[in-house]
Amino acid sequence: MIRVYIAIVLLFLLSGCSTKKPTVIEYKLSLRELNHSSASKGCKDKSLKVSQAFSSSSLMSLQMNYILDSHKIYAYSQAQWNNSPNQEISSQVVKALRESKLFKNTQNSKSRSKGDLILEINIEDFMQYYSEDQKKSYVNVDISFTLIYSKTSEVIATKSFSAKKETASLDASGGVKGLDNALADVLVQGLEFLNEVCK
Amino acid sequence: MNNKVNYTAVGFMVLLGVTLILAFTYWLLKPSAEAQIQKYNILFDESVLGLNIDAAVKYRGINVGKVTRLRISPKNSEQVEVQVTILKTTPIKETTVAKLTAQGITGLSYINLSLGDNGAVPLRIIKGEEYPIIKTEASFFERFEKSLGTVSTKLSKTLTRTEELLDDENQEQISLLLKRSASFMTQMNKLMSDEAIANFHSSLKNFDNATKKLDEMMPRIKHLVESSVTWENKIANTFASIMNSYIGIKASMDRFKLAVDSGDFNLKEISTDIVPTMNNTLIELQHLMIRIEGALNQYERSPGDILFKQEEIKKGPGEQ
Repeated sequence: MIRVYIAIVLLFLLSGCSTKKPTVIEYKLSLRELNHSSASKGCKDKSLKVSQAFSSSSLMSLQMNYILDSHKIYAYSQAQWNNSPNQEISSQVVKALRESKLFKNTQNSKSRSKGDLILEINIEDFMQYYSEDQKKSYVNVDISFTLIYSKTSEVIATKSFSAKKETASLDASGGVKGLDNALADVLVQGLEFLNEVCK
Repeated sequence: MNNKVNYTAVGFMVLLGVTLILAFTYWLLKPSAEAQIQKYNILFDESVLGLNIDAAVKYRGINVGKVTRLRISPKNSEQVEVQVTILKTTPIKETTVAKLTAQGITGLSYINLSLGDNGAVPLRIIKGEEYPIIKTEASFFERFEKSLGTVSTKLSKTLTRTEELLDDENQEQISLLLKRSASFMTQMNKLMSDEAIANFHSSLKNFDNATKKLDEMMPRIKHLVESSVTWENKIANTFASIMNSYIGIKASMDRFKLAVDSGDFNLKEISTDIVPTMNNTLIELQHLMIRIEGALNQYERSPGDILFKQEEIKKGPGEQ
């Protein structure tokens, strides 16, 4: 009799495994080459450490969300991020700053080194929006940078940047491409801002 | 008729008559012992108004002579020389002083001689003078006039100083002082009101009560002090125990310090490896927590998903 009970329980437990789920496509950001030239040399002798970005918890998960009619938040069932947007944006910022050569060196938040300066990133918005009838879609990226002296924790400068782009297609793929372009624009603005600060 | 004249008898009688006339004349002109007088001069520095020739000269109220001459002193025009004749029996001495005295309300004056020292030398003629000179002293009017002058001067000074004292500035100050005094008195009046005095009495009673209570408390305080001594002893023992513990801890810390100095415990080196690893682990833990939170949210929405995937999957735009 006991064997019958165990069999029933296993049947219940394993029955979930038989549920069919659609194929999930993982996306990652792939930014175009940034057209930016850094002329300032004021920060050439300083090292920079990019801290982990501040964001809402939804941007720290792999779930790819979209907003319908400005208020309703849904997640794509067949698409998700390869890395959380939070990590991805931090990585893209570090990469852009290294390529710009504004600083002596640029390290991410996991580095053991202590930078002379700290760049704090605050992700206000990183989302794809749909109209109510789902016939129009755009992406919005809103990020603020804050440059800080690590020794004194004194804020040197802070500024917010945003970019809004229409999506090429009304799906997750179009949203990711739109976010690529918008983030690239925001990073160019951020590099120009840091270039001005380092003059 | 017998016309025979005895001329001898006539001559004798004539001679006798002439002799008697001469004797009578001598008797008349002969000065008596009481009539023997002495002249004196008195030099007054003041006016002798009311003093006339034949005015009386009195010694302690007794007429002893009279004024025989009045004139301005030929030696000093500021002085009046009065010549008096005084009975020789009058004891005029060097200390005797003459004073011009008014005689009632008549305006007449007489000279009053004051008593000198009984043992003093009789007054003598000074060389170069005709008669002895009696000293003078100022009359009542003279002294009164002088005093009046002095009083007038002092009064004038007093008035001047009073005027200076009462100038506008001082009047303002005095006025202010009076106002403040009035205010002070008002305050004092309030302070010394019946209520205040009653309160003061009440305070004194309270103080008295407090003193009595303090007297009652003193034995208890003494007991408390004695208890405190015992308590202090216990505290001292406790502190001694703590001190021993501290000494033990210090010994341990010294050993630990020696170990650190020798390189057995290099905290910086240890933390250099551990802290970044811990930091990365915490970041991963944060992501894990977020995913767990997502899963929990999902199962809260559809608990049946634990066994069967029952929640309807909403397909996103562009999904089939």
